[in-house]
Amino acid sequence: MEPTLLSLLDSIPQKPPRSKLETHRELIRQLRRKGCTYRDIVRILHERVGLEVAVSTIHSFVKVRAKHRKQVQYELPPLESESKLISTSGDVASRIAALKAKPIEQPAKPKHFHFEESEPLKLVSQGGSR
Amino acid sequence: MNSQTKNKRVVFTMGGKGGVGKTGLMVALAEWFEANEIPFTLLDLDTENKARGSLKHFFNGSVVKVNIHTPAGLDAFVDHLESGAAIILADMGAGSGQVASDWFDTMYEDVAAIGARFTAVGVVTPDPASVESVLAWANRLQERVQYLIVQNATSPQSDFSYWDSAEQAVRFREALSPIVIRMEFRLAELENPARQHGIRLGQVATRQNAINELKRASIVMRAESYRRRLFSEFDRAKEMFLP
Repeated sequence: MEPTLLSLLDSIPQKPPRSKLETHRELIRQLRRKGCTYRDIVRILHERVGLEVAVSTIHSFVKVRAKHRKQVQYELPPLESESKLISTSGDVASRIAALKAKPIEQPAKPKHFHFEESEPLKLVSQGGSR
Repeated sequence: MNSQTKNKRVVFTMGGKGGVGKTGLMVALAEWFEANEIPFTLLDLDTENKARGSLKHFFNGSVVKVNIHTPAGLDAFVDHLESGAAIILADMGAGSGQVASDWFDTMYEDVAAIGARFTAVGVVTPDPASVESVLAWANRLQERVQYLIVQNATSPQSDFSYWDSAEQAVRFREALSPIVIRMEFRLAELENPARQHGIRLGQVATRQNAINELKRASIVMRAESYRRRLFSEFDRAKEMFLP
């Protein structure tokens, strides 16, 4: 890039992230890759990071970034400096955090209503089956 | 999936027991939406139902027939939510419980996360099997849907003891808080020819049909008053039908 343009680029300050999820982008991406639902991610962010966020916010965040990733991939080759950033120690740490946070097995939710299909209906007034 | 899917409602019949009036209820509900000028998409998921008894028989070209007995199951919900109206009315056939249960187990979380809500409509009659069928569906679906129970009077003096007083039905009402409405008994002189020719109540009430026996003044008046009272019941449960 031309030196004048580089100097122009340097003079423009970096804007702060617009989403509070930006700092957890890699964690969210890894959780999605591991099959977590948006609802799972909301729960993990709440329990492990202390961040309150709506399911729909996670959905929008993921979709917007997915679209952006696709554009970058098809329109521009990755910058050298960006490609080096992929495996920084912070990135690995967030992957480890994501792996630790990933639920191994979802315990079955307690049923609010249970119906035994093999049993006949029992009328309350008669106290027995009919 | 885009944001178009937000704030949608799928109203579907719990299709366990055949012949309880599920399709008749859906036809009337579709008429209620029409009367209120609210657009909806009709899906006929009853692959077993004969032509005369099906939703398509009453609405013909405006109904999409879907075979849910495929690995994709109820994915038609997702596709129509993405591109269709804000409300889907889906008539499920008898014996569709396992398909619905499997679909909800695998797809519900992600579909619900983008703003789609579900209303399961159960039709009960004096027949205890109809009550058992609704309870079996609720046992599978749990709190993932809201419940509307329609007491369909199949005779002038219908006895709903099993729905009213069975222990299991009481527990269902306490746990999942369904809204309960009534569908009153219809005279055979109105019901049978209307079903035979695929004529809706509104078409009888406004004489927009070519069937002479459905143009008699007494039948027209019966259709009008029956429709008015049923719509009043739907009004009472309107939150269950709207996005």
